[in-house]
Amino acid sequence: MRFLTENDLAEGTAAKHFFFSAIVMLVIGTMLAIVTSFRLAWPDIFPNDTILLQFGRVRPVHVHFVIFGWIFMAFAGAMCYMTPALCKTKLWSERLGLWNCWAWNLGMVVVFVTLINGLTTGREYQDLIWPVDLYVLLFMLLPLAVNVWLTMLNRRIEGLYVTLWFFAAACLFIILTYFIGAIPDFFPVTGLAEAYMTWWHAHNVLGLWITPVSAAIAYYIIPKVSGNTLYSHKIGHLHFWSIIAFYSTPGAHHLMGAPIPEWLKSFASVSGVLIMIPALAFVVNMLMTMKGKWWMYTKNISLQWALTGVLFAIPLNIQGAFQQTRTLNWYIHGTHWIVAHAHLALLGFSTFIEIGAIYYGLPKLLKRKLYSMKLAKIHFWMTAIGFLGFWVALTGGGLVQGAAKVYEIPYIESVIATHPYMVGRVWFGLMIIFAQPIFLYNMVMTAKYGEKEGAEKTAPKAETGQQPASATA
Amino acid sequence: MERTLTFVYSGFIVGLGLGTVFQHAFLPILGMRIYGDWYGLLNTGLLISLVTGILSAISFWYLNAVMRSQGK
Repeated sequence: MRFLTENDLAEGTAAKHFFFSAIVMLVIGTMLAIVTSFRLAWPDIFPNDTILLQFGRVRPVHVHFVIFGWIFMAFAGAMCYMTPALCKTKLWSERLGLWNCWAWNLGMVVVFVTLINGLTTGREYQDLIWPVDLYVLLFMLLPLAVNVWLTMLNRRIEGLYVTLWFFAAACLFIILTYFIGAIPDFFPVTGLAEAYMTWWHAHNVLGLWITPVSAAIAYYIIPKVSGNTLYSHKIGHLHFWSIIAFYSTPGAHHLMGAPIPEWLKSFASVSGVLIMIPALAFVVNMLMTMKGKWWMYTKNISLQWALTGVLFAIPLNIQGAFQQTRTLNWYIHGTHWIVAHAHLALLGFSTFIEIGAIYYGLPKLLKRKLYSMKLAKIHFWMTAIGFLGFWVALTGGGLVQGAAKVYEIPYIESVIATHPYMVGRVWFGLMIIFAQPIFLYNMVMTAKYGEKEGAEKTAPKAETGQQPASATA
Repeated sequence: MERTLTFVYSGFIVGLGLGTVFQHAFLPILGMRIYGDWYGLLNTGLLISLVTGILSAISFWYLNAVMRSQGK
């Protein structure tokens, strides 16, 4: 134990490594989308006998790189940065954090090699084979959770700020969710039970990990940068407990057309609509925290990203609440609408907040000023405009497919009808994809040539459980 | 200028997203098969989203304009 906690690494080492690794994963993950999106627009654009360029091989790699690579590692970086800052202490073990980061990167290499070669369970979002599942649990998720929990146990403050509640709980939830999702890899669970567990896992990765941790990061960044205190801790409580109550149950809405028990579908549908409670609690809390400070929206690049991400949560959650009711679900199930909604969650809401966290935290960790604000603005606008067009194209394509269902149009006609939308998806998607290397370049240049800060501390000061945002940005 | 654009962008995307939900609420009331052409349903839906998107963008633009008038 002492070996792990020996302080021979500078504070923030783990967070820096996680943040840079996450950006690299973002670049790789989005680049892989070139293949998948081109395939959907022009199916024969790549040689069909090159198996490694087939949609079925590349798509899971893209999904895993943006979720397990980019989003998870950005979360890990944010946790390693924000937890010690909010607890007024050091990270429990920078060494464990650093190992965790490199184990994570190694894990992503294994993920790439296995999935691209077709070594998969075939269960969406739970594609990894059982040895890789064990690796993910033991060497990626568990060490991060241990580091976060022990840092919180060693805190030097009385209370816990909202961000910490979410970090602590989400670290437990993701381990449980991932383990339960992987059970069919280890035990003979088949048929509908397997399908239900797969989708319970898939939805809870979003509901019990990606959504709460993204929100936790926003709870940190927005009060911090705006200089306002959090609008309401009570609403924060409502957000936290209603996520736990309602967001762990709606997995069955992915199976509305499957012969699972009817009560389970109704239960999932009702709890799905109740997701509006945590969603609105979060959005209201964040928007009211900005009260009197909306003029700062574009004054600070991290606030610009994070606040835009929060605003994406409005359509995201209202869509999410209603699209799982039976009638609407019938209309949009299996269409590009769902892909649009998933990207609104992962690329819109979550990614925008994480990028905001990196623009906020990484320069502070490096003790340097951002290399180029101009590049950061180009990054923002390329991603924002690209995302808007990409999302509209996918949503429109989904509505075309939905209309084709209503009018009982032959499926192939709907495929032809959605071609222009898929082309739109490619062009707008390329804007998003080519924006990310600019982000990486800007951050590498910040590390190398960014103007050095004076005596800036890595950990924000004056943070207690009750007064999180009194420090300046 | 950038601030105005950011407000208008955010307002538009929020409204557009809400519109996608509204259209799902209204389309069954309108009658999903009232159109001769199956694209009619889509066009009505897109129109609903576009209107809500523009209304929302205007409200965000107004918020920004009020702040400007207050010297913020």
